[in-house]
Amino acid sequence: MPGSLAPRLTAYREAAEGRATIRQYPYQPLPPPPRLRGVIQIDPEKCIGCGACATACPAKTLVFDRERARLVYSVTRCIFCLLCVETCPKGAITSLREYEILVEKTPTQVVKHEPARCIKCGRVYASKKLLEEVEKRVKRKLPHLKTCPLCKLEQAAMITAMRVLRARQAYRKR
Amino acid sequence: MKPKRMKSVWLYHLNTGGCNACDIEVLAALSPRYDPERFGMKLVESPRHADVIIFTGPVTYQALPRAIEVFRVARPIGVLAVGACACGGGIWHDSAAVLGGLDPLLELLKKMGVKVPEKIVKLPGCPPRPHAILYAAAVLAGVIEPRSAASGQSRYSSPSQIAERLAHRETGEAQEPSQQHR
Repeated sequence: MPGSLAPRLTAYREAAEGRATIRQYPYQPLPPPPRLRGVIQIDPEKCIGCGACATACPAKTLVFDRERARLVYSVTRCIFCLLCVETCPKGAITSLREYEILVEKTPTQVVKHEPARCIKCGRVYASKKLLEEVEKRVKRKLPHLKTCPLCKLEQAAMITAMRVLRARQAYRKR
Repeated sequence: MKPKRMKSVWLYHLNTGGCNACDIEVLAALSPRYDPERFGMKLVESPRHADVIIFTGPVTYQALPRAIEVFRVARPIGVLAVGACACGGGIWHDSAAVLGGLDPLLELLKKMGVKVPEKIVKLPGCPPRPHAILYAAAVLAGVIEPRSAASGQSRYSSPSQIAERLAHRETGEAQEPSQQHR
């Protein structure tokens, strides 16, 4: 039951009974409380590589590397806020409900994605799964998804320039 | 039980500019409810008496000279970094006002020629539970072994176990993301 007083009341009751110290801990593990937030785990099959979790992460411990289309999570800087779990559109991130997180180095989880290359410049700009997901959601093929944002910008600039040129030519002819 | 050390582990609590949440949890972990005095642990006032430094905070530049002085004077056998800030800068990792946790501080100490402790254990969390701090202190003092999947306590994690799990999930080579934003 969320927001329950029960764990606190248990502590008081134990203290009243003369069992103030939790004697079995740390020799034996204690079960974690129901809403404990712990280390997160990313399901590489469910993850589409949109990078929403990396945007939401306040400690920037979840980093989405767009140039290599991979998601990197390292444990040490994580504050276990689980904003990534809330944000993930595919429900790919789960929390482990553990609190005995003792590390010496920095354990890292890397989720690699199949990179989608721009058809114009060849740069990696997203994961293929993400583009598929977008097309699935709008229920039609989107050809302009195949170019990277920079190339798109260039294209738009070119179109505008051509328009201006044409307008000028039309003005001169008049 | 075989004695593992000659002396009880005395703790010195060093806050290097943290927000106090970890400090409150450390003090909670030192309370009679968790009772670390059964392992001979107690909080000492002077770094000269300390064996283990409980390290919190992201090392702000104001706290840096004091932190260096404490490490120089204490010559601890172990450091327990408590909290995400102490472990790797936490949410302050890209701030201009902080050094970014224990690792850069230890590098700095090495450059200055100060003896760096051998045992360094990190406990991430914002803040970690008092249970976890007690567990970490007990592991650091050699009272208990770190729990692992092999001992049948698979729901609970240990350093090796977390690393194993993450390695199992991993689909490429590991890399340090911490340097990308600094």
